[in-house]
Amino acid sequence: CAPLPPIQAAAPEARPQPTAEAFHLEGRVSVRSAGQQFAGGIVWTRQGERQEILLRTPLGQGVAEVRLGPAGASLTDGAGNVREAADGEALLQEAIGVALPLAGLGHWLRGRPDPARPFAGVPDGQGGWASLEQDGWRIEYGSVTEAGLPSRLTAWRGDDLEIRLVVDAWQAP
Amino acid sequence: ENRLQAFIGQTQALSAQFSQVVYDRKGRKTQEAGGHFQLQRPDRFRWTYQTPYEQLIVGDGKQVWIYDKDLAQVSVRPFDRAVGESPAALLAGDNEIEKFFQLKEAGSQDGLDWVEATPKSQEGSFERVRIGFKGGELQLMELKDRFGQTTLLRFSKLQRNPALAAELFRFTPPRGVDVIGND
Repeated sequence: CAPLPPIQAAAPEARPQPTAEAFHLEGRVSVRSAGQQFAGGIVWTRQGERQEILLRTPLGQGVAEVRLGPAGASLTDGAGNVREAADGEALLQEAIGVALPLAGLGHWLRGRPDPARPFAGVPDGQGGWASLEQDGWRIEYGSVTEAGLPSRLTAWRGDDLEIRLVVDAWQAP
Repeated sequence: ENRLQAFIGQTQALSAQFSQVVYDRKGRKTQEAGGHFQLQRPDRFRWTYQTPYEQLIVGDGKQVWIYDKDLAQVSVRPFDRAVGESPAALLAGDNEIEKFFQLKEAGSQDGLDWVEATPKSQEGSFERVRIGFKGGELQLMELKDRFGQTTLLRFSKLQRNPALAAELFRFTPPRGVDVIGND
């Protein structure tokens, strides 16, 4: 009988790679909508259905944290008050005065459209997207990491809504 | 007079390097950054992040400008609105600082003498700031916010009362950059 295959040395515990359903992103974002603006840091953590989005001042302190889950959304503001609602986007608009399309952005920042709704896109020739259109937004990708994850994106809707997002780090949560 | 007031009294100007680490509520290191800063009392400072991204924060005595090169964007706000949120503004303040912070000696620990500064306005996003001195020299700043995040600033290569050019503390937004003013 054939000799037993050599025992493969266990691969070094590979650092878990961020997947679509489980990632942790740190970066900076600026949002301009109808005269209101926000600029600062963003930390986005996703674990399957549960997402946490922390917005920070440019200097790192927390401003607002939105939690999204199957049962709805909650927002904690800088003074520690917690409010709950079905729609996280409305909560965030109330807290920082600008609307972030959280549902779509949770996918766009991964370089892909939200599969739940129609979209149009221009492929980038490497299996990804150079630009997308979804929910009335146009998304353009500036640069990607070696793992093919976006490190810069800009999104517009109409002529007075603009989001610029720069990713400083992608990690598994 | 506590250490911070002594520091304010003895240093009219300062230049130093800093390293900044931010920990999240689970104690995970989320952000590491570094750079250098200069300050000139009262209320003027230049805080330059060099790594991992380029960001410049200038206090010109009246306003605080934050310029993020990647985002091609400048945000500007009045000094007294920024003081509760920016460690540099706290360090560059004069004795008026007690208008914005309640100061209290917090004893000696890990070889440093600590002062605790609690923002008076709820609106500032820091819950508590601790500043550590060694022999009267600024060493550490620990800033806690209401989301359980801790920012730790470590200072090195301190030069006390250097001669600093006035232009360091002026800022003109570069052409083609958005200016977001929430004054």
